[in-house]
Amino acid sequence: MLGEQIIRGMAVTARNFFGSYVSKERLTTVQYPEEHLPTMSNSRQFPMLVYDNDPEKGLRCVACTICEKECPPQCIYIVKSKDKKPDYKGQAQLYPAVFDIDI
Amino acid sequence: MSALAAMPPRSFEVTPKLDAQGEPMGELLEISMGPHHPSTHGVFRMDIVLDGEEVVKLKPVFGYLHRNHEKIAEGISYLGSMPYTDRLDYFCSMTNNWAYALTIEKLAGLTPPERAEYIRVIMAELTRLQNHTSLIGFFLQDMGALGTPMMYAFREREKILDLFEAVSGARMMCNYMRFGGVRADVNDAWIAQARQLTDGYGKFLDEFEAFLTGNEILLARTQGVGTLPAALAVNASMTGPMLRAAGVNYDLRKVDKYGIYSRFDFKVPLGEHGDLYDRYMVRVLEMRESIKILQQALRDIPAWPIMDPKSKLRGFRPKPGEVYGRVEGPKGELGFYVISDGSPNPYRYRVRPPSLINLTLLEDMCLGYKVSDAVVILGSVDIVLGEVDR
Repeated sequence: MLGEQIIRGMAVTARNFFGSYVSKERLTTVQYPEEHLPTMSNSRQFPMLVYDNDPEKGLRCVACTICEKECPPQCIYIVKSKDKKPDYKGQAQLYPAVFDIDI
Repeated sequence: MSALAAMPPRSFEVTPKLDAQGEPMGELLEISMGPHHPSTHGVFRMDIVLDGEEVVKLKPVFGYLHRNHEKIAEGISYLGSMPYTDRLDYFCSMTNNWAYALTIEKLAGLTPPERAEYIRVIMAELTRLQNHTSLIGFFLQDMGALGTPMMYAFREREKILDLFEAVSGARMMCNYMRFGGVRADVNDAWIAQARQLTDGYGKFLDEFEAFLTGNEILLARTQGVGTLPAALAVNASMTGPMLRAAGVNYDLRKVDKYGIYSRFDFKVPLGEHGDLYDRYMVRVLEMRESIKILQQALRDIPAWPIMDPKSKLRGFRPKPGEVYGRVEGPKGELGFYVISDGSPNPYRYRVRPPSLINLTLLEDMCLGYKVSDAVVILGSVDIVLGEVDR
């Protein structure tokens, strides 16, 4: 019969439509501004300087400028500090006086 | 091949149709579809000459999205081009990464360890699944089925992109492969999630096929439309599902057996007529074969390590030489041609994009059909303009 398969396809649409009221699998969207999906733990988002607890003592960047050299679009700009500041272990470490990502 | 010689040369002169008295029945109309047209999948233009509603001449015009990828790659380090390859075909960044990594591994003589090879196969097949799924959604949207098939396709694609994000940190711009391995390892929870997705995907495909495959409107729009003879497709060096829908058994996973594809048991689905319906069906069947490969790979995946100890990420200088590496991407043969002169940058870097080369026969497929068919035929070629223009 002509149109039989169309009706069969409509049954799939109906199953998905009414299923979205009862089944979590068929309702995959969230109400965005109120609800958020959880961010993945290793998600690469906006790049920033990472520190442990204290932004000065625990700063992990030692201004080695490897990222500046390796960056494919060359959008990172770093100026090394003239002086050194102690980290948690008390060792004197360089820090970036300017760290800028031009996105 | 004798079949190639048998193709008659085509006349490029176009004239309006004549009536019984030998007078032209009307005038030709030249219209320019694009570059900003929703059916062209990006910034792509078709110059179409119409006689009534029939296409008598068609010229694809591309280059609107040119980003100088090949020249940029000559100016930065080998590893620096890896994130740029994501942006070639932004639907399948994993296979782009693999093609480039495979090329440089050939050049530098690196061999990825077992686990990395398995992870690469898993990623490539997941990419094929999500590319073909979303392509069918777009294809149906070009045909006028606004929304519903594409939303179902994107719902499933989202689950695969979640897997990509969990392992590489980004949904589409994965930047995941490295020369001699992969960047991050997958954990057991990820493998369990991938296995769950793989086992459930067949059910989704069944539902998708119940929804679409027998649909009378789809059959009327696709069967016998946009037919491409196998000889012509071979002549234009087409690859991928477009070529296999024309009935030519050519799949690089079987021909080259790159990576570890010789270990897996899978078939290469072939079409018979080379029309739009065959292209749709070949893609559906390819997804089912991909599920088989994924199930085998997820079952056999060995343990640590994931990087070749000889590979180094910084200060990488391969010895002088030239190399061509290729993989079977979801759209066709994706190849990279690199010449090294021993410096940290490639001397010459060239991409062989499947989308561009599959697009060259657009005129031969569209002649004699209506404008609305030309839109669907373009949708069946499966182009991504990021890769066509580079």
